[in-house]
Amino acid sequence: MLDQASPRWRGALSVSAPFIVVAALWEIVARSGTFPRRLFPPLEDVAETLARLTAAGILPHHAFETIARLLGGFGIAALAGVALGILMGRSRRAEDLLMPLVSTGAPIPGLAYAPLFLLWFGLGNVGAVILVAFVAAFPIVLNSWTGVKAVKEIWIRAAQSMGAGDRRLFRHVILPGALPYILTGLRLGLAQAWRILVAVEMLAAVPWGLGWLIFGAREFLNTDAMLAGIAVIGAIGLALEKLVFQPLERYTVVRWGMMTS
Amino acid sequence: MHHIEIRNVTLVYDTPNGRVPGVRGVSFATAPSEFLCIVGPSGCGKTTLLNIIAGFLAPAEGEIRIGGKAVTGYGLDRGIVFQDFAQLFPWRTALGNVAFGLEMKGVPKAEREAIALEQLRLVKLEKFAGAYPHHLSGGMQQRVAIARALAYNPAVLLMDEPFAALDALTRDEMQRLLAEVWRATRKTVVYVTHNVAEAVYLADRVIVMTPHPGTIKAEVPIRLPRPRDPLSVEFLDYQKQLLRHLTQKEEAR
Ligand SMILES: Nc1ncnc2c1ncn2[C@@H]1O[C@H](COP(=O)(O)OP(=O)(O)OP(=O)(O)O)[C@@H](O)[C@H]1O
Ligand SMILES: [Mg+2]
Repeated sequence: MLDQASPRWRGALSVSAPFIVVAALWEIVARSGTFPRRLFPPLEDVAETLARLTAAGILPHHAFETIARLLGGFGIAALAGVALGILMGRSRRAEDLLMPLVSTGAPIPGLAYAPLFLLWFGLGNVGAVILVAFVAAFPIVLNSWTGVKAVKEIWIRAAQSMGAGDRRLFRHVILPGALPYILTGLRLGLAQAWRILVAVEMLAAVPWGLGWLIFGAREFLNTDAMLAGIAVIGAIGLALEKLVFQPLERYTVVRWGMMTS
Repeated sequence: MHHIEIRNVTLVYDTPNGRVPGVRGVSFATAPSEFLCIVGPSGCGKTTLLNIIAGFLAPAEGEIRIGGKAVTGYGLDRGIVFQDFAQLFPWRTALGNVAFGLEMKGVPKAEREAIALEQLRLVKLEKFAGAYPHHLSGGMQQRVAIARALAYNPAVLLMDEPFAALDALTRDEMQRLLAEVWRATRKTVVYVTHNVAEAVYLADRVIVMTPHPGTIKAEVPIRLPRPRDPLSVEFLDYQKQLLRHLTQKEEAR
């Protein structure tokens, strides 16, 4: 029994080891007195702040607002991005029309659009969500397009010879065939959404949100609150990866042998 | 009565480097339930010809009729097995792959799965009905592909070197299995290969093509009782005869 348990323990240890090392170094520096405690708080201060803000309901409120915007913006990006990418992959005309725009827009840092979007759509949720959706859509479009292009001709021929018309070809062949790339695109899109969302929350466009918590905390030198906010952002990202993307992949493309885990 | 009739079919590929002939003036016909093999050197146009019969390519000249009806595109009257193992849908189990054609036809789930399982039994894979293709060996994948092409009961089975990428031992086994399946189903089969032993083992009649651009060079009926013994003198004679056709320089040119 111990033998069976020990590899899992070792796995957990090897994942957490780098964090333990960094935490230990952090503690040493924080407690050495090199920097003022307000600027470089020991971890216990951060943990205490995290607990206090959570208990007071402040941190959950910030986190909730951020997650709601993230899911809103990312949700729009996912639906529109996958649809557009597949359209471009299937239609030569759509590809010719949209590809130059998409490939020009994709490398522009999302933050560059922020002032424009906030002017157009106003400070607040609408501007933030639209900006997140817009920026996150680029990698989703590009990867979905690649995915459609990567669907093997032989699958299409096999399906057609077995009587699949356009619509069922799409549903039963193109979509699952492109799925490994679509999932990659969604993952990249979510990362983009995170970045731009936290940044745009700092531009004070919204009253609540983790980005705003972190940015607002600087006025009072609340580095412990900043670090608590960063920790929550990291935890949410990790949770999405572990609880959404990995299970989704394991259930589909990994099970089908189209991607190794 | 003919089942498949190919009349004077010519196809030219348009490529960035100009026009490349695919096949040139090919004519032949098959009887119902005949097993026809097409052999020819690499690049002579065998795959092109099969794709024309399948309806994926439209010939520049000539016509194809199946059961008297002109072929204008792909259709459920023809089942196709490709050389590439990757032809199976990775996201479907063996059973799901075999049931695909029936699903497209609108056959209810319980019924199509029963038929698909029956087809898997025919290729001796009923135990692997729930397996995904990437967990099957190359030979098993090709057997699933054969079951898939048969499941919706097409009159014609088109096969493009389905066993060429298998090791010799597995290939022998596959040929035996295919001969059995053919005897049980009585499909008209057009089978492309460049392996003369395979052609002699399987075919009622062998068509030999010239090197590129391919035309028909000879037709050799194989008059041997089945199951055939690949080590018999007659078998080897047929093999030699086909090889002679394949290696001989074209005289009249
Ligand atoms: N998609 C294509 N575009 C242009 N030329 C092609 C295409 N496919 C085949 N050809 C050309 O047509 C000729 C016949 O090709 P084909 O694939 O039918 O040969 P094959 O007899 O099946 O060969 P192999 O035994 O190697 O599979 C070749 O010379 C090839 O270069
Ligand atoms: Mg070929």
